[in-house]
Amino acid sequence: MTDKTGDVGTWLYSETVREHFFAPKNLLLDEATHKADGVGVVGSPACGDMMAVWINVDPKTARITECKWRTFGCASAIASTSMMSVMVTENGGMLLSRAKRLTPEAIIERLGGLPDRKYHCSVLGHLAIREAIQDYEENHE
Amino acid sequence: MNDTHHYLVREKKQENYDTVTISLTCENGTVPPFVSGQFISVYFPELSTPEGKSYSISNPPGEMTFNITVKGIGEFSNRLCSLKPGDKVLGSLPYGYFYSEQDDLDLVMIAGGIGITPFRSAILHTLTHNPDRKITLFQSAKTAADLVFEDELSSLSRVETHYFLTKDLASHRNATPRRIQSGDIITNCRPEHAEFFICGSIPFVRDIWRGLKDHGIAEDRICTEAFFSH
Repeated sequence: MTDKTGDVGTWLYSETVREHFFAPKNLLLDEATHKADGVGVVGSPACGDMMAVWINVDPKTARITECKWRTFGCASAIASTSMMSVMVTENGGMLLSRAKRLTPEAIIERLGGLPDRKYHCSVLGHLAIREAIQDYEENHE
Repeated sequence: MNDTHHYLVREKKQENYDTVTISLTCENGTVPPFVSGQFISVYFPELSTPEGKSYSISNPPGEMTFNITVKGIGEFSNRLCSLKPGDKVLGSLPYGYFYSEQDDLDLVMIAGGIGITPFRSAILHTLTHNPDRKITLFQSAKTAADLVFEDELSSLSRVETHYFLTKDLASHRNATPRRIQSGDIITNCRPEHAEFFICGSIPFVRDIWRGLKDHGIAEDRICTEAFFSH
């Protein structure tokens, strides 16, 4: 039995984590020709985790229409960012104001839990989308 | 470790039996710009923690130093706690998004243990710049001896404080002797008119976040900051 937002016990990853790790959604492998309204980069290769997020925004509705990402990180980091990208683009796209408050807890809950020692992986996704939104707002408002 | 600086330790203050506040400046005496709620990452390259560890800034912007308040619980934090005035420490620029963006809402802060640190900064800043804003602080700790900033924050007449102690229950005159529950928060604030900030351990933040959601609080009015290691 999996705790929705906590440690998943003896079984390291939930089925949802596994699904997003093996088939990540919205991955961007080559950003050379990709046009984005906002970019966020967090982490450091020296520290082991690095993540980049590219968003496009509908200026009329202030909703995120596209969220692409790439990370150098572990399975949890890949799954967390993949899930984050789904959450901010599903159902017509998340309002920027709402996406700013997309917490690590919300990402972990949708993943069906992460071990506490992997909590920082969801923090990276949370920070990367914040950085991308900030970049968008600084350049479009 | 981009954008790192050597910071100079200006002062050190013992807050309780295992927690100290370290006042820092840049080497030239300036304070880097920051917003209440932000943190710095600290690096000791000689220790086996290349990613460093993060510590919230505990004083408001505008002072002569910026402070981090550190609970000595392991090799890294004890090393930090052992610094003396005049020592240098490698750290990042202030960073993070754990701050209010809706000034018209009440501020409700929920701190687990040393999670009180960013709230001291935010409370003092708000009292100066938005003194009419209603502030309610919930602080949880194991014992009264573990409370940090209690004397200062409970003396602020414009801040409503609620304390919860999970051990050594007879040691505090005003504390509720059990774990804090989300219902305690809801019944002691105006939930429909509040912005909620939670800071503490991963389980503490998770439980309170989930509890507030279960009480119908919208996710975009809950901001979280949990302690973690890589």
